[in-house]
Amino acid sequence: MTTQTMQHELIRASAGTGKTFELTNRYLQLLHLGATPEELLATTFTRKAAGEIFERVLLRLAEAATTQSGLQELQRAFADESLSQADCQAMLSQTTRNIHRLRVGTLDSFFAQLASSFALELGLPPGWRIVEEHVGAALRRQAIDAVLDNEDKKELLTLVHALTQGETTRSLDLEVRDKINSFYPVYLESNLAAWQRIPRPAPLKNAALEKAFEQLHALALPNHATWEKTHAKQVAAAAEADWPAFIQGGIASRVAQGQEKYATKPIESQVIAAYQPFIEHAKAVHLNQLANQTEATYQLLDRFHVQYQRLKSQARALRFEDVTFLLSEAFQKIAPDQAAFRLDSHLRHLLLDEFQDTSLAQWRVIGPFARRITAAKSEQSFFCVGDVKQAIYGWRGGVAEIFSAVSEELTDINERPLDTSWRSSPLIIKTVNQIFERLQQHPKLDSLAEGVSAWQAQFIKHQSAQPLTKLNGYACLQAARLPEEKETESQKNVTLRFAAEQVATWKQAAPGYSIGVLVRQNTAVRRLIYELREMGVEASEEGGNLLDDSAAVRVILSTMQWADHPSDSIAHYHISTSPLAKFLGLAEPKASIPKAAGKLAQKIRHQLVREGYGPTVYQWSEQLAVSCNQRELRRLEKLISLAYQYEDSASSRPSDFVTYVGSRKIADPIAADVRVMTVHQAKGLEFDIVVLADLETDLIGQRKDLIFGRPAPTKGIDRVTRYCGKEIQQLMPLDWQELFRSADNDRLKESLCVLYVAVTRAVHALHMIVTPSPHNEKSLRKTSNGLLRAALTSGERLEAGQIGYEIGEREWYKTPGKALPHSVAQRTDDTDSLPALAIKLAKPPKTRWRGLERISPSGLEGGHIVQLPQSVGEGPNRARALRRGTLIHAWFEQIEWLDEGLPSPERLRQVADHVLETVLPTNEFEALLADFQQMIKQPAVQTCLHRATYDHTPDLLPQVENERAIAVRQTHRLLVGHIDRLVTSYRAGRAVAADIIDFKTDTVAQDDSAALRNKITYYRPQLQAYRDAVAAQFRLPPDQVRAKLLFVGIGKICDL
Amino acid sequence: MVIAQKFLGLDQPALTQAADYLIDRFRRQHTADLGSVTVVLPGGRAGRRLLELLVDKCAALELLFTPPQITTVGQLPELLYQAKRPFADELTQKLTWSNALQQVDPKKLDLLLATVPKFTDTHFWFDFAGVLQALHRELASDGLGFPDVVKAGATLPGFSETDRWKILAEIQAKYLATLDNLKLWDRQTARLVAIKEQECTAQQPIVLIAAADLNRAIRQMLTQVANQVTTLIYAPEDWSERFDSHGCLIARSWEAVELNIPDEAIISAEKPQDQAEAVLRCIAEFDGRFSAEQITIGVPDERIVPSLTRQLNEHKLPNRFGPGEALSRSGVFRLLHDLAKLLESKDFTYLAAFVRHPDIEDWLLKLNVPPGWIEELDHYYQRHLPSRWSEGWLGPNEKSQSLRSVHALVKQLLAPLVGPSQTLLQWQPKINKLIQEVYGDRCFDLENKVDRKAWKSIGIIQETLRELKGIPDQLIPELPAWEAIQLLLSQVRSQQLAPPATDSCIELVGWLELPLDDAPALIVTNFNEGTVPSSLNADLFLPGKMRSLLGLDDNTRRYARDAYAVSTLLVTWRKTSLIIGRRDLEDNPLTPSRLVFATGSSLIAERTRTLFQEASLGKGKAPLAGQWHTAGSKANFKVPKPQPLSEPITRLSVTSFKSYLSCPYRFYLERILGLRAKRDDATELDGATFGNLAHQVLERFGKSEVNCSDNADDIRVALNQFLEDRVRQQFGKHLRTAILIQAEQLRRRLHAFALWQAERTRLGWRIEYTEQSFSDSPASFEVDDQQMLLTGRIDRIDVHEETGERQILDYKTSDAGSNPEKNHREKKSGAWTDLQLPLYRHLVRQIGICDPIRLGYMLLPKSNEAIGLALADWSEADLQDADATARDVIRNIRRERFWPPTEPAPKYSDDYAYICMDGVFGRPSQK
Ligand code: SF4
Repeated sequence: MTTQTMQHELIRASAGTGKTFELTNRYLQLLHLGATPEELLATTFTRKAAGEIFERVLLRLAEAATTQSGLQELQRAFADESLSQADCQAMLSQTTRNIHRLRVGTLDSFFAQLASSFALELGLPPGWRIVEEHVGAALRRQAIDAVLDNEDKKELLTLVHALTQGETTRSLDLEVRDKINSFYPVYLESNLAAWQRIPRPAPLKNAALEKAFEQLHALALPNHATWEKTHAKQVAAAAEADWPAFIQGGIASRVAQGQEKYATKPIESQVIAAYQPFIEHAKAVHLNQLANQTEATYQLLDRFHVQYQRLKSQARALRFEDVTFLLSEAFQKIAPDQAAFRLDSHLRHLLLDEFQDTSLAQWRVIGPFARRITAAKSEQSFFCVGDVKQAIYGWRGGVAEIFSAVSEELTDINERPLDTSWRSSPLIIKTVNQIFERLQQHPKLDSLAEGVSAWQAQFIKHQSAQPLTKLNGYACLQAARLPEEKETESQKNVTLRFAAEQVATWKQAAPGYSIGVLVRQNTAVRRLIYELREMGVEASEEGGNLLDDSAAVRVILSTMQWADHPSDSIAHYHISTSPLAKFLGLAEPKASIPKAAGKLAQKIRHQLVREGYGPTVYQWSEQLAVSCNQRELRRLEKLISLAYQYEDSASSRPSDFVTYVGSRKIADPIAADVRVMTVHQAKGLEFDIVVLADLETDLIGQRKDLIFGRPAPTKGIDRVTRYCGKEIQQLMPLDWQELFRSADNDRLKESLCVLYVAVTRAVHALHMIVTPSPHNEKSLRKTSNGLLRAALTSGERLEAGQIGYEIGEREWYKTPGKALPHSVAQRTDDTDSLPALAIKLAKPPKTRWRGLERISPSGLEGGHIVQLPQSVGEGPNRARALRRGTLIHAWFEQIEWLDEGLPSPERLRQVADHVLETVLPTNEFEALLADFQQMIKQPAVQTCLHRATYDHTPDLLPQVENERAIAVRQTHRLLVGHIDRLVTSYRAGRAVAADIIDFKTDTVAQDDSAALRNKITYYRPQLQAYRDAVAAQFRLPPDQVRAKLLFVGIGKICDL
Repeated sequence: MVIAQKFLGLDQPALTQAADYLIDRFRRQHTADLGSVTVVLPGGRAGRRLLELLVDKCAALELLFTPPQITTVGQLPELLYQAKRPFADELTQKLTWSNALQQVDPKKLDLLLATVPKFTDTHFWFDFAGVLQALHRELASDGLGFPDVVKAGATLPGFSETDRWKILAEIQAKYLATLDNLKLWDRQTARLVAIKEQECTAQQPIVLIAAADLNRAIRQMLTQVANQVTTLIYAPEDWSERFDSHGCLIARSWEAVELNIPDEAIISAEKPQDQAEAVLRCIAEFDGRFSAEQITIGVPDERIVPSLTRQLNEHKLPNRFGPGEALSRSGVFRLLHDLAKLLESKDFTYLAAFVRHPDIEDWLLKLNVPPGWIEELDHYYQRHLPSRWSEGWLGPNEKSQSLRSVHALVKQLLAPLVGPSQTLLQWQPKINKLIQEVYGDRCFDLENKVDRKAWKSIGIIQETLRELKGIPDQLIPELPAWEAIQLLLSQVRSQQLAPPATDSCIELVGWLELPLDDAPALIVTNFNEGTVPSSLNADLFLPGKMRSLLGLDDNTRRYARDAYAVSTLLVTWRKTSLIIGRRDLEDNPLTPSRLVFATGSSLIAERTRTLFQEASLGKGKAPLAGQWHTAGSKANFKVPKPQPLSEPITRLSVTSFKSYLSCPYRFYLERILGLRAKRDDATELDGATFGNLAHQVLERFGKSEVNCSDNADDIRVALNQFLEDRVRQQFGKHLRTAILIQAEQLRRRLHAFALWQAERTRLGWRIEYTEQSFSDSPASFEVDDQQMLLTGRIDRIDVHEETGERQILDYKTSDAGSNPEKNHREKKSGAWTDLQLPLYRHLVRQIGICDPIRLGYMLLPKSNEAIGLALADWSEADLQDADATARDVIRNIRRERFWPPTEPAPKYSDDYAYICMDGVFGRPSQK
C-alpha cells in the first residue's frame, strides 16, 4: 500500500469513541506509507488536544518500537502484520529528527503561521502579533469610543436609536457596546447588500390614507358586540397611527392572516377591502422601520470596523479571529501552490479534528487545500473527524452544517460512523441511548417537534466497549428539594444548593473520584462554587478563578487601588484593617483618611514604577504570608508571577494592575476533585461522576438580536435583519419568516447538542438534577429538564427529592471496576510534609574568579553622585566641540618627541579624515590646525613633549607610548583603558619611573584658578586610576609614577 | 594563502586554552605584548572573559602585559578595509529605505502589499522599511543582493514570486542610490565593495577563537588576508572533517552526528516557573560544591529571565543577567510614552496617568504645587466626567485648585511640543529641554541601583536624541511631536540596561555565549525545539528552500550550529543539565529539542517514553527551603468587626433603612463610617448620576412656572431647556459623546413625561412641593420613648384641586421601572426591604400634611409605554407594619447591632465586597 491508496475519509465519531485514536492511527499510517511530516497537517481546536495528538503519535511509535503489545496495536491499526519493531524504530527516529517539520497543532496556530508568511498580502502591519482577549476587548472599547467621538452627533443619535430599537436605555455600555460586540462577527461575514435585503413596501400617501379612512368609517359591520368594540379600537389605533396596536390582534390580524371568520362571524369582502389598505400600510411602516434599524445597525458596525481596524493596526495587534478573517479573504486569491512555496512544502494530507466546530471563515482557508487534495487523486488524502451532535459552538462561528456540506463538495469521501464508547460505563450508554431515542416522547413540543425529530433521526444507538464488570456505573434523574421556610431564594438557587449538597455527599462517599458539575450558565457556575465553598468543599472553576478569591490577594489589590486613588476610603479602610497595615505604615483604621496618607500613597506609586511591580508585590506578600494558609500562599504566588509578567505593559497607574489581574482567570495548580463549569467548557473532558444542574433553560434559549441567513452552509451570509416580534414577523415575506424559524431551529439544535455533550462526559455516574414539578404543572416544559423527564420517565409529576429514573447501584463505587480513579494519583499537597531542600553555595573565593566589574578611568570622572550635564550644548556647537576634542587628541598622539619635529600637515589631514570618519571642510581644518600649532608653541606643552625633559641622566632611557592600552586587575575590578601619553623611563631594560600625561582640551580661562581647581578635582579619580594601573603593570613603586594633566588650550600642566 | 588552523580540544575551556595560546605565541622575555594583535570572538562576553584570563595569567607569570585589540565577529570587517565614506547609522538606513519605498510607483507596491497605506502613515512605512532593512542585511551578509533572488528563483520549479522580487530589487536599487546621493555608505554594501575590489588588508595578526559560523562576506574578507589569520577551533582534532578551511562548521556533516546526551543531564519541567524551580533544585543538588561565580544558567530564550531572576532573588542567590533589563521598563521611557499619549490624544485619562508618574510628581512638588491634586483629580472626574484635558474648568475653583495649577504647569511643560508637524531636527531640542526640565535638578547616586538605572536610561535617550541630529535633512519627514517621541522610543525600546558586576554572581547567559563560558556548572533552560535549534518552516520572503539555494542560514546550518554548541557543553570539565519545558508562558505546548533525539536509534524510543509520559513530571518533590512561614491550615484574614460608636445615632435618613435591612454591617460601613469608593474609569453616567440629572431637571421644572401647564409642548420646551442647562453646567460644552447620548435618552423620557404631566394637570392635579428637604426640619419618630430624627427629601407632592387628595411621589429613572411594592417588600414573605415611601408619611407631617395620602413612584423607565404613575396599594395595617419594622431597625441601630454581614451578599454591594470578603475561598463564617 502507498499513500496513493489512502481513502479520503470523514468520520462521524460520537462522544468517547476515541477519535484522537483514529486520528493518530491515520497520522501514523501516513508516516508508515512514506509521507513526510511537513506534508501532513493535523489540526484540532484546543492547544491541549493538539499537544495530546503530538504526544500520542510519538508515544505510540515508541511503544510499538519497544513492546510487543504496542507493536500489535499498530499492526492492527494499519491492518499490516508485516510491520516490525525495526520499522517502528525507523519511523520514530525519522519523526524525532524532523520534529521541527511536524505540523500538528491548533487550526489557529497553523493560520498564524500562514499569516506571517503572507503578512503583506494580508495587509498586516509589520511587527504584528496575536494579543490576548482582554487586549482585544480593550481595543474594541476604544474603537467604540472613537466612533462615538468622531461621528456627527446627530447622525450618531439616529444610529444609536436604531440600535436600541427605540428604547431609551440608560447605559451605552450595555446597549451599544454589547450589541456591537455581538453583531460584529456577522458584519465581518457579510456586506452591506445583505443588510439591505428587507423589502421596503411604500406606505400609503396621505390622500390614499384619507380615502381609506372614509371607507373604514363607512364600513357596515356584522351586528356583534365584539366586532363593534374591536373595530372601534382598531379605528382609533389607526387614527393615532399606532400600527403595532392596530395589527396586533382583532380583525386586522385575522384579515392579514387570510382567515375567514372573526368572532364566529364571517369576514365579508368589504371588510377585507376596508382593512386591507391599513394592513398594507402598517406592514410598510413596520418593514421600513425594521429595514432602517437593520441598515443603521450596519452603518454603526461599519464605523466601528473602521476604527477598530485603525486601532489594531496602530497597536500591531490582532486576534486569532482577525487572522482567520483576513486569510479567508486572501485565500480566495492565493493559490495553494503559492502557499506551498512560503510554507516550504505542499500539504498533501489533511487530518482535521473536531471538524464540526470549523467556522465558515476557517473553511474558506482550509477548503482550497482540501479541494486541491481531493481533486489530485494521487499521493494525497483528506481526513476529518467530528460529531455534529457536539456542535455547541454555533455562537462562536462554528457551522456544523459544513460537515455535511463537505462530503458533498469534495469528491470521493468515504464516510464512517464511530459509535462505540470507550469512555462510559454501559449503564451510562444505556441512559444516553434512552434519552436520545425517546426525545419525541415529550408531549408538547409544538413547533419544536420537527427540529427535535430531525435531531433524533441522526442519532445512532451507541455501544459500549467495556463490560459492566470492568466499568461499573449508575445514572439517575432526581428532583431537587423545595425551598425551606427560611430560604427566600428562587427555586433555581435552591436546586443548585441541592446539587451542591449532593456533591458534598459523594465527595465524601467516593473520595478521589473526579466530579464534574456541569451547568449552562456562568452565573450558575459562580453560584455553585459559592455554595460548595460554604459547605467546605474545595471546588475549582474550569479555566481557573479570578485571583481575588483570595483574601491576601485582595489586600494587595486594595493597596494598589488606594495608591492610585488616595481618597478611596473603602480601599484605605480595607488595608488599614489588614495584616499589611503596619508594614505600610498606616495608622489605626479610621473612617476618614489622615492627611499624611497621601504621601504614603505617593511612595507606593513611586516604588511600583522604580522598583517594579514584581518585587513590590513580593515584598508585600512576604508580610502577608504569616496570615496565609497554603491555598492563600499559592494564590499570592500567582499574583507575584502576574506582577512580574505585567511589568512590560505596566503604566504609571497602579489601578491598571488591578484591572489586569481582574481580567485573568487563574487556576490553582492543585486541581480540586470537584470542578464546576459550563457544558461548553466540559467539551473534550470526562469525569468519573457528572452532576448536571441548571437544566431548566429554555430549549430555544434567549432570542438573538440579529437574524441572518446564508444561501448554503458553505456560503457567506446574504441576509440580515434585526429581530422583531411575532406580530411583525407575520407581515414579512415567507422566506423571511422562514429565516426567523430556522434561527429558532438552530438554537434548538444547539440546546440538544449541549445536552448530548453534558450526558456523555460521565465515566461511572451521571446525576441529573431537575427542579421538582411546580404545584400547578400541566405539562412538561420545553426545556432540557422537560426532555429528560419525557425520555426517562413516564412524564408524570416529579415531586421534591423524588427519583424519576435510576439505573445501576447508587453505591457503584464500592465495585467500580477499572482499577483506580485517575485522580487518586499523588497530589502536590503532600509535599508539605517532605523535608525542605536547602540551597547551599560554596563560599566565594577571596578574590573574584571572573565576571569582574569593568571600569574605565574616564568613567570615574566626577565620582558617583551625578546630575544631568547642565549644558549638553545643543545645536551645532556641541558637535563641533566634540570633533575638536577628538581631533586635538589624535594630533597630539602623533607626536613622539617634539625634538623630532611635527608631523606634516598632510599627515595631520589624513589623521583628521580617519578619526572623524568624514571629510572636514577646509576652513574648519585650517582653523583647527592653527589652533593646534598655537597649543604646541606654549612652553608647558613644549616641556612636556621634549625628550630633554627626560634624558638628564645618561643611563635612563625614556620611551613614549601614545594611546597606550592598559588592562589591570584591581582586586574585584578590571581597569581597562587608554593612556594618552605614557613616558616610561628604563634603566638597564627595567622600568624605573613613568609619566602619565592626559591631554585636556577643556576651555578654562587663563587666570581662573578656581575653575582649574574644580577641573582637577573632577579628573582626579581618573588620573589616580591610571597611576595605580601603571604602577601595577610595570611593577613600579607608586611614587615613581607621576600623573599630569596637560591643559593644552591654556598651556598649563598640573601634577596630581 | 591558507588560514592557519589549530584544534584546541575539549578537555579544557576554550578561553583558557586560547589565552595560553596567545601568551605563548606573543611572549618575549618579561613581556606579553599583544598590542598589535587582533583577537576575534563570536560574542562580547567571551572577549571580556578572555581579557580577564590574559590579565590574570600574565600577572601570575609576572609578564608586562599589553592587551590585544579584542573584537567580535560582527565588528571584524571594518578593521579589514578602509571605509571611503561615513556609514549611515541604523536610523538613517531605515529612513532611507522608507524614502526609497516612496520613490517607487505605488501601483508596483500593489504587488507587495494588500493595501498601500498613505505615505503619511509614517508608522507603517517606517516599520516596513525595517523589514526590508533586515532582509537586505541578511542577504548582503552572505554577499547577495535582491536581484540574486530573482536569478535563483528561475532555477526553482514552480517559483511564482519573480515579479515580487523584481520590485524589491528596484526598491533596493533606489535605496542604494539615495544613500549614494547623501554621500553615505551602507555598511553591508561597503563590505561587498571591499571584497569585490580586493581591498581587504591586515597589518597585524588576527586570531579567531571558536568562530565556527561566519557568514560568506566575512569569510571572503578573511580569505583576502589569510596570511595573517589563525583560527582556533574548539574541537578535538579528530573532528576535523566537520570544519572547513575557515574553521567553520560544515553543516551537512553534523546531520548524522550522535550527540548522545546522557539521561541524567535531561530534566523535564512544566511551565517556565517550574523550569526556574528545576534550576533551583539543580543548584541544591550541587550541595555547596560550587560558588556563585562557578555556576552559569543558560537562557536560550530570554523570556524566562524574569522567572529565573525572581526565583533566584527570592532564594537570596546573587545573580546577574548580563544584557540587563529592557530600557522600556525605565521610568523615563514610561514618562515619554505617557507624554506621547498625552500629546496625541487630549483624552483626560492620559492626564490622569501623566500626573501620577513619579518623576512628574517629583517635578510638581519641586515647583511647590500643594499636594492633593490626585484626590482633586479623582473628585473632579467623578463629578464632571471630562473627556478632554485641555478644556475649561467646571465647578467651583476651590474644589480643584491644586489640580488647576498642575494642569497649568503641565500645559506649560508641553507647550513647545504642541502644534503642527515639524522635522525631527526641530523637535529634538524641545524634547531634550523637557527632559532637562524634569530631570535636570535631580542628583543620581550611581551606587544606588534605582538611580543608576534612571541615570543610564536617560543617558541613552539623550544620546539617541543627539544621533537623530545626524540624520540627513532630506530623509526626515515632518511629523507631530508625539510621533517624533514614539520614533525615539522605538529606537531605544529594546536597548538594555546592563547591571553592574559588582558582586560575585550566578550568571545568566544567552545560548550563543555558552560554548565559550568556562563555569564548571551549567544549567541550560528551555532546551526546546524552536529555540535550540531554532528553525524556519515558513517565511514571508525567504522560505527554507530558497535559503538553501542561496546558501543562506537555513535549518541545516542552524541545526549544525546548535549540535556543535551542545557538544561543547557536554564536556568532562563541566557538569551540564538541560531543562526541557513542556509549556510556555501562554500555555502553548513545547517540544523537546530534537538534539535530545540525536542518539543511537535504539535509545530514541526509551527517551520518547521518559519525556512524554506523565510520570516524568516533577511531581511530589521536596519543597525548597527558604519559603515563608504560614498561618497553618486556617488563614488569618478577618472581616473587621464594627467598633463601638463614639456618639449615638440620633438621625436617620428614610433611605438608610433599606441599607440596614439588606445588611447591617454594610450599613455600618456605608452610612456610619461613610466609606466611599473612588474610581476614574467611568465612561458614562452610572445609574445614580443619571438619576440625579433627571431629578435636577425635574426639580427645576417643579419649581418653574410651567409646572401647572396642561400643554405638553410647553412642558417639553421647558424641560429641554432645563436639561441643556444642567448638562452644560455639570459636564461642560465638550461633553463626551456617551453622555450626550445619555442626555438624549433622558430627553426622550422627559418628553413622554411631558405628555403625562400635561394630562395630569388636565385631570386636576397640581404640584404642591418639589424636592422638599427635611434635613433642617427632621420628623421625630418615637421608639421606646426616645426620639429618632428622620430626614429625607421628597421629590414631589401633588394635590388634587377638587378632592384635596395628596400623592407623594418619588421619581424613578432605572431602566426597568419596578413598582413600589416590588421595591419595598419581599415577594414571598411580605417582609419589608425598604421603608422609604412609608416613612414619607412621617416627614410630611412637618409641613402639615396628613391623610389622605397616596404613596407612589413616577416611573421614567427605558420603555416609553411604561412611563407613568405607579401607586402603592398599602393598607393602613401594612403601613403600621412598616413602622414597626422601622422601629426594629432603630432599636437595632441603637444597640449597635451591625454584625454579622448578611450572607450571601445583597445585590449591588460590590463596593464592600473586599472588606466583607465576599466570595473569598475559605472565608470563615461570620455567624
Ligand atoms: S467640584 Fe462640584 S461642581 Fe465640581 S463637583 Fe465638586 S462640588 Fe461641585
